[in-house]
Amino acid sequence: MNGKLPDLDVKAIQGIDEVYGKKLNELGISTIKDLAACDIQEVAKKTKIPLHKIIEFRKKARLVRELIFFESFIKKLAEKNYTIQQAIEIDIEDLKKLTGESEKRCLDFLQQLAIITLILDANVCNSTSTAILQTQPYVSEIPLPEETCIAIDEIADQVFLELPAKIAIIGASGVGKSTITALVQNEKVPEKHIPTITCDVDEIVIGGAQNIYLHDTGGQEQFGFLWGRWVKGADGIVLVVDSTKENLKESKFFIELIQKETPKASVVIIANKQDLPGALSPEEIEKELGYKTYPMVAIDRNRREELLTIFANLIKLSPRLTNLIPTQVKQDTVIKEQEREIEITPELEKQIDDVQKEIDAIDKQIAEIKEKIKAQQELGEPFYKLNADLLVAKLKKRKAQQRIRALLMAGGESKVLAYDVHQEMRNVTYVIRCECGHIYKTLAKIKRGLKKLELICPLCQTKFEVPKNTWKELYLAAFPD
Amino acid sequence: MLRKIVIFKGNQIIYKREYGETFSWEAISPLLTSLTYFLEETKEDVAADILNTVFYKIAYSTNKNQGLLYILITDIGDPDEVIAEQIQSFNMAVSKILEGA
Repeated sequence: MNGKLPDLDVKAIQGIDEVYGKKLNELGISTIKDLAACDIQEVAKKTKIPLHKIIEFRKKARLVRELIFFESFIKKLAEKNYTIQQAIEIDIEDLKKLTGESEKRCLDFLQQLAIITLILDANVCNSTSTAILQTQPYVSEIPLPEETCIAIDEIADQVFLELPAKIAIIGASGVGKSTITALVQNEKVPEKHIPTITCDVDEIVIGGAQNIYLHDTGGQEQFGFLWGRWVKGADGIVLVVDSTKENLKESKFFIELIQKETPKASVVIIANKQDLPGALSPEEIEKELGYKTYPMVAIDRNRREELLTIFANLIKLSPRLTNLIPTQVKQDTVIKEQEREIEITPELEKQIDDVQKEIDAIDKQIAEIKEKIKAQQELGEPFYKLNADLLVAKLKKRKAQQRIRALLMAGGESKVLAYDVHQEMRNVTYVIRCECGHIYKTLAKIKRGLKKLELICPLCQTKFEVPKNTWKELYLAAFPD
Repeated sequence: MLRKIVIFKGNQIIYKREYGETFSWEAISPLLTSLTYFLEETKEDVAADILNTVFYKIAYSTNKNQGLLYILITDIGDPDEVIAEQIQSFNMAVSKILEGA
């Protein structure tokens, strides 16, 4: 039998015999999925099946929605033509051999299978292949139109900014914590050791993710009473060691601190100063301290991308955001190279001034909304609509600030910095600087007869049309005939 | 940190956006389907409710008028008040967009 579990006939449900099955079919309820969605009062009224029976049947049909069987298991069992009943009766050792999975995974799978015995009729289990258990989440995806999604993306990104991530960098004094912080921020690496006083908090960007707060803590013992407070609530903790035996001993204290104060935080160790003679290897350090350890030379600027990737993996950022790390590093390098005395012409000054006036008006609006929220709070009344307005206002302000940056950076233009054409596949790779200052790489296909190509900046969502001359060149390169 | 936003209409996902890894679909699907079931059965809107799991918080908010269920998944360390505030704001702002769409 093909198809999936929810598509089985209603008579597969335990307790639904031919008589009940026929009555349900007459009402258009023919599959488990139909049964899960039915109105119990209406069905009971029209079929004369007792209400408590309908409730029981629908509950069983709805249980199916909650079952997700591991795909790898189903595939292996179906290949060997196991029926559901045979799969239920399989020995755990045989299952482990067949699937190559761990005992825990096998037990979880068998537990899920046990639920099936509550739902399906015994005869159905005996005669149906495990292939039918290819359940997917009962939810299906029907995405909204792209423009609506983009509008919601902006609001979602604003919510993301309101729930910042916290990464704490800890370690003994002089191991390189501040140097690592400087490298992350693409700032000049300090030439000599300047002890951090208490804790420096900086907002950093990792790939496409902003609003990540990096707490660079002071490592000197005089601040020891504050270490617990700094790591508390951290989503990720970076323990920096200088790869020496002495520091390794000292760092065990920090491990205990982490396990006491933030047992649920993700932790990585950076074995800094790997360029120095006699440095312990990351494997030795990992064995000693028990957390994943990465080698690093924080004074080497070429390792910035590697460091950002470590941080991204630490807080388990989505690939959508992590994939922008190479572009971020390239962009920051280009920006640094192009840092120059910007000539503020009267025209540019006016443009910036206009946007600044917009920002001032939005700030006023934000202040008014906050006052209203405060008033509502004092009255003990709900203020959710005002909060929504505040979210939208902050979003407008952020976009206006990006426009100022773009005006200063690129004179208000988007530019194709470079491109190359893969003629055989008609693919074109662009490196583009958007008007918001973001540099990104994108791949686009040229089809014969396509008149223009429109691209969308992943950061500010500005639509960017490839300039006419560039487009002509690309089209000719793709279709020389 | 916000990890995932999902919007359901009935039992259909109409929007999702991911910022960080969270549960696999296998792990979270039973809970999400229970929540969609809850949306069908409940008579009143839920402004914001938060469920704690071992590593994450799952916040949900409903708009019964439009049949929408909003879900935010955040890190366990994020403060409840901020999450509740944000999910309600998100509900309001997005419901307005979807009304006009």
